[in-house]
Amino acid sequence: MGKFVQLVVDGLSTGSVYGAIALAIVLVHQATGLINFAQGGMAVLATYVAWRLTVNDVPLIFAILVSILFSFVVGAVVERWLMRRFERGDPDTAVVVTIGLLTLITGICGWLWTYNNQQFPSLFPLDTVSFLGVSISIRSIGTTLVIVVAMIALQGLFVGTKLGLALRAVAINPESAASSGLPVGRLLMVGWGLAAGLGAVAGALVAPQLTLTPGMLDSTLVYALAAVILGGLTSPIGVVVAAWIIGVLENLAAVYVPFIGFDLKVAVPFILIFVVLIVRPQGLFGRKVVVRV
Amino acid sequence: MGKFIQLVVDGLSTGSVYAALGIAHVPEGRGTLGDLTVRENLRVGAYLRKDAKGVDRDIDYCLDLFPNLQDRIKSNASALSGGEQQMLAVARAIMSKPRLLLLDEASLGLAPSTAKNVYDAIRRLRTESGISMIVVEQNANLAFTLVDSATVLEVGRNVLTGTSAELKGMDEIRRAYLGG
Repeated sequence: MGKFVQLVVDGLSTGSVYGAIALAIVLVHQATGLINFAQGGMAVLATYVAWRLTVNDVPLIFAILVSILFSFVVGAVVERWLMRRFERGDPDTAVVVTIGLLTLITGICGWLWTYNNQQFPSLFPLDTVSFLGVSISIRSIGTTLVIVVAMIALQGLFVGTKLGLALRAVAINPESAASSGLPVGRLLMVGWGLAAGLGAVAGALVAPQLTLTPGMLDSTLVYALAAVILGGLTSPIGVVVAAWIIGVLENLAAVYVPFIGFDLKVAVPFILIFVVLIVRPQGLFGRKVVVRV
Repeated sequence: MGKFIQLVVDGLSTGSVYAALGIAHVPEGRGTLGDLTVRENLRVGAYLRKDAKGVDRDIDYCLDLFPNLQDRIKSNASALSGGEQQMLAVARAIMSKPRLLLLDEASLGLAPSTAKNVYDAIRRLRTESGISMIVVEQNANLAFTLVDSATVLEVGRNVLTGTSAELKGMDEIRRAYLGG
């Protein structure tokens, strides 16, 4: 029983990191209709900035905040000066551009900071707490909590503020939003910036566990895309729930299903995707696009 | 550098030029944002305004002008009927407090009684607010209930211009556009 609870909590924690990247992908997709394959790469770049600061004895929490800000700016700049030329064109081209960007960022990180694994300090103590006789790692609980708070904050921004309303309006119809005077270009930059900032949070949370390398989030990106498909591209809450399901199932399957083990657990989310795509193509929580004519 | 009424328009979309000049445009078809609620659509319309109290007051005014929208205030625009969407499009346009309102085929695709409701509300708006309007309309009967003067276009050419009363009295207009 204790093992089971520990596995579920750890699964929620890794699932939260998948969820953060997945949420960033959904943010960008809602604003510009693109899947950004460089979302993980941009997050790694931000994590390197945080790491570099901590090496220079900047307090960790401050270093992470700076990296979030840095990442926001990178996201906005990438939208304005790179992606904007491709947003109106063929989506396939734009997606290939984001894959190129991923390669470029990975290369830059490797060139600046080598491909060696770097130790990244953890925000949370590595101890465990005992809860009803079950020991649970504080880091797992902390990671999950931080992502939940980030999600609630984003939800609040989108539903409760004028900026959030404007971001949603632009995502629905940029032309129509512009006719009410919304600064569409600047709002798209903010959308990309928010997504990139969220990625930086995910990077800083997962780096202590994975150790920092230029390709640190490559596999996370795959899981995040799985969560996006599972949860549905139109549902921010759905993708996070899907990411948790993936994180937990993956952990449980590795331990309790004998032939899967730790080598095959990567296959679990993909089996899920196949089933979901066949049974519910719009995702578990997404909706079919209904248009009234 | 391209300029239009002292405004640099290079790289701007038609929509943002309108917004910058205080022109509100109700486009042909649906001028609403489908995934936003009725209230949110109205708030987007007022995006450039800084007077929060005035915005709230004008939302109430729009709902008074179009009582159908009051009942659907929390529905997504995409769930509204065609007539309600047209009302919302007009309401969203006037939320920006425009100096000039462009109405493009506001009756298109609506049942006759619904089209009449929309025009009744627009006429009331005109009387109460005094906003200038340019109205493009195929349904001449409806158009004449609203406008002071009208221009008849045929294949893009101006063939006749006059006041509402003058045009309504002309035989050829009656035969061609007013059904007898």
